[in-house]
Amino acid sequence: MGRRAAALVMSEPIIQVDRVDKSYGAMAPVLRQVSLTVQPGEFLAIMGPSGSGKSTFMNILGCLDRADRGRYLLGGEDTTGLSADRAAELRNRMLGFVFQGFNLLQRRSALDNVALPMICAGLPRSQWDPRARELLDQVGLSAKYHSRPNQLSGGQQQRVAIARALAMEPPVILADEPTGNLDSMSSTEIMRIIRSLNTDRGITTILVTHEPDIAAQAKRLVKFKDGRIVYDGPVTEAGMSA
Amino acid sequence: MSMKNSAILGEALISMRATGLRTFLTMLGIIIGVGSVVLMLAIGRGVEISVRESIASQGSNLYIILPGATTSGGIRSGSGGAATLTVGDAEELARLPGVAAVAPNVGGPGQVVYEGQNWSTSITGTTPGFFQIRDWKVSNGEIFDDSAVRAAAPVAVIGATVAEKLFGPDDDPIGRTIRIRNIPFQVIGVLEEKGQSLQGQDQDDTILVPLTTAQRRLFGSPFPGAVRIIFVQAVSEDVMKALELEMRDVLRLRHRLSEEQEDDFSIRDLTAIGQTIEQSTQAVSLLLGSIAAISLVVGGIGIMNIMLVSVTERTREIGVRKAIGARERDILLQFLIESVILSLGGGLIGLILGTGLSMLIGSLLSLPTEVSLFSVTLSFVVAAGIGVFFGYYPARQAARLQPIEALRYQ
Repeated sequence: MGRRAAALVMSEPIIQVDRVDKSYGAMAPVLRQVSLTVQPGEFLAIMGPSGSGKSTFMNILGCLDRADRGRYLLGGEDTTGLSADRAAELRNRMLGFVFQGFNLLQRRSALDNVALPMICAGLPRSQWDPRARELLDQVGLSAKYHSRPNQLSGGQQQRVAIARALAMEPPVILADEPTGNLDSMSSTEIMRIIRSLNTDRGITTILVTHEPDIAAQAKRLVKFKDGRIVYDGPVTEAGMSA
Repeated sequence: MSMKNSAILGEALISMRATGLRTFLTMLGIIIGVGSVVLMLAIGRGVEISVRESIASQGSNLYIILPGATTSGGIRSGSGGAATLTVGDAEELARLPGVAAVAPNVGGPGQVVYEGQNWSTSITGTTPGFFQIRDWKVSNGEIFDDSAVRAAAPVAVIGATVAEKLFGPDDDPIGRTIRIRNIPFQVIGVLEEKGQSLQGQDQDDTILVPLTTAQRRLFGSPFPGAVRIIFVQAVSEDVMKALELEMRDVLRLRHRLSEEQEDDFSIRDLTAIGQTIEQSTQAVSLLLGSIAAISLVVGGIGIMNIMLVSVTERTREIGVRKAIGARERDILLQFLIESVILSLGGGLIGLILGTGLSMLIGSLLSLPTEVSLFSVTLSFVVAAGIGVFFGYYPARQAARLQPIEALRYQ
C-alpha cells in the first residue's frame, strides 16, 4: 500500500499523536504530554537514553500498547479505545514491524514467515505464495525460500523480517533497533534496504536507534528524555547532542 | 479480514508435529481412557448378553402358575400347598388366544437305577409342550409325544447329567431300561446340555416322563389329575399383561371362586424376574464404565497441562502473531484445534485398541463381548468434548495475552 500512502494528500498526517501520557502503576510517568505529527513519506529516527520513553512511545505507535490520556490517530483513524481485534486488524493493514531480535517463527521456513501476515488477513495460498516469493526476491533471498531462521545469518533473518513487514504493503514501517543485533556489514545492508523502502516506495519509516551514524541516515530526528520530546527537527550535530 | 480456518488447522498441525513425542505422550492419556471405556462397556455388554441368554434358556414370555394357599379349618397352607391346579385347568388355559404352549408338571425326587449304578435326581412328569417352552431339544433319541402322554407310556427322556452318571461317557442310553422309584422305564432320549440355572442348579440333573405316567405310577396322589405347577408360554411379550388377566378369570371360574374369595393359585411372570436380573447386570457394567471414565478425565487433565505448558513456551510466538495481525479468535482456535486433535486422535487409537482387547478377552473368556455403535459414538463425543473442555482454558490464556507482554517474554 505504498501506492495508497503516495495517494494521501500531503496535508493529512499519517501519524498524529496529541498530548499522550503513559505510566506503569505507581512509578514515575514514562511519557508526559508527548505530541508528534508525521507526514506520509517521512523518515524519522527516534533517539534517547534507555528509560527515556522511546520504546513505550514506539509500542503506542505500533498499537501494541495504549496511552493513558491523549489521542493517537493512525492514517486518520482514532486508535483510542480500539478493541484488541480491531487493533490487530489495524496493525496488519497499516504497520510493518521490524524488531531488534527479528522475531521470526522458529521451525518455519522463510516463506512461511513472510506469508504469516497475509495468512492472518485470510488471503488464500494462491495469493500469498507468489507474493511471499516476490518479497524474498526483493530482499535478495531467492535461494532461501525454504530455509529456517536457524539456518540463516542474522542479516538474512532481518531481511526475512523486512519482507514480512512489507507483506501487506503497509504505509508505515516501525523499526526498533533493527541493526542492534547485527555486525557492521549486515547493518549497512539492512540500512540500505530500509532507506530504499522510504526513498523508492515512499513508505513512512520510523526508526529507533541509539547509534548516531544510523540516525544520521534519517531525514528527521526526534529525541526523547525523561518521557518528553526534547528535540524534533532536522538531523544535525546539535540535534544529536540535545 | 480473518484467518482462514484451513490455515488455522495447518498451523495447529505444524506445531504438533514439532513436538512429536510430547504430542504422543499426551495422547496416551486419552488412548488409555477411551480404550478402557470401550473395553469395559464391551465386557459389560458381554456379561449382559450371556445373562440374557441364560434367562432365555428358562424359556421366554413365560408364566408359571402355582397352586395357592388354601384355608381349611382356619389353618392356612403356604403357597403351593394345595392341590388346586389340575390337568383340566391346563387344558382350558391352552385354549386361550395368545397362548403358545402349556405344560402342566408333577414331580419330585426319585432314585434311578441302571444295572449297578444308581443316582438320586428330580423326576418331572409333563407334556410335550414343556420341551417347546424351555426350548429344550434332545441331543440323542427323541422326546415323547402326546400319544405317549395319553397312553401313560413308561418312557423317559433323561438329562445329560443323569445320562453321564448312569451310563458313563461311552454307553448309549437309548433303548435301555432304567428303574425310577423301582418302576421300569425305557430311555427314549437324552436332553442337550443346558448348564446351571440362574439359581445355580444343575438343570441337566433331571428326568422327564409323560405327565400321566408320573401321576399314575410314580407320584400317586389323593387328588387324581392334580398338578404341581403349570408353565404357560405366551406368543409374544405384548400379550402378556392381557393374558395374565384372562388366565386369572379362567382359573377363578373353574375353581368356582366367589368375588370375596382370594385366588387359590398364583401367576408369576418369569420375564419380569429376568428383567430384574438384567437390570442388576446393567448396573455392574455401568460401574465398570464409570471407573474407566475416570481415567478418561485424567487423560483430559493431561491435555490441559500440556496445553498450558505449550502456551507458556510459545508466548513469544503468540506475541509475534498478534503484532502482525492475528486476532484473538485465530489464536484461540489454533490452540483449541490442537487439543481437539490430540483428544480425537487419542480417541481413535483408544477405540481401535479397546476393540482389539475386548475381542481378545472375549475369546479368552468365551464372553460374547460387543463394541456397540453406542460406545463408539460415546467415546468420540466424549473425546472431542474433553479436547474442547480442557483445551479451552489454555487456548483462552493464549488468545488473551497482551502482544506487548508476549513480545517482551524471553
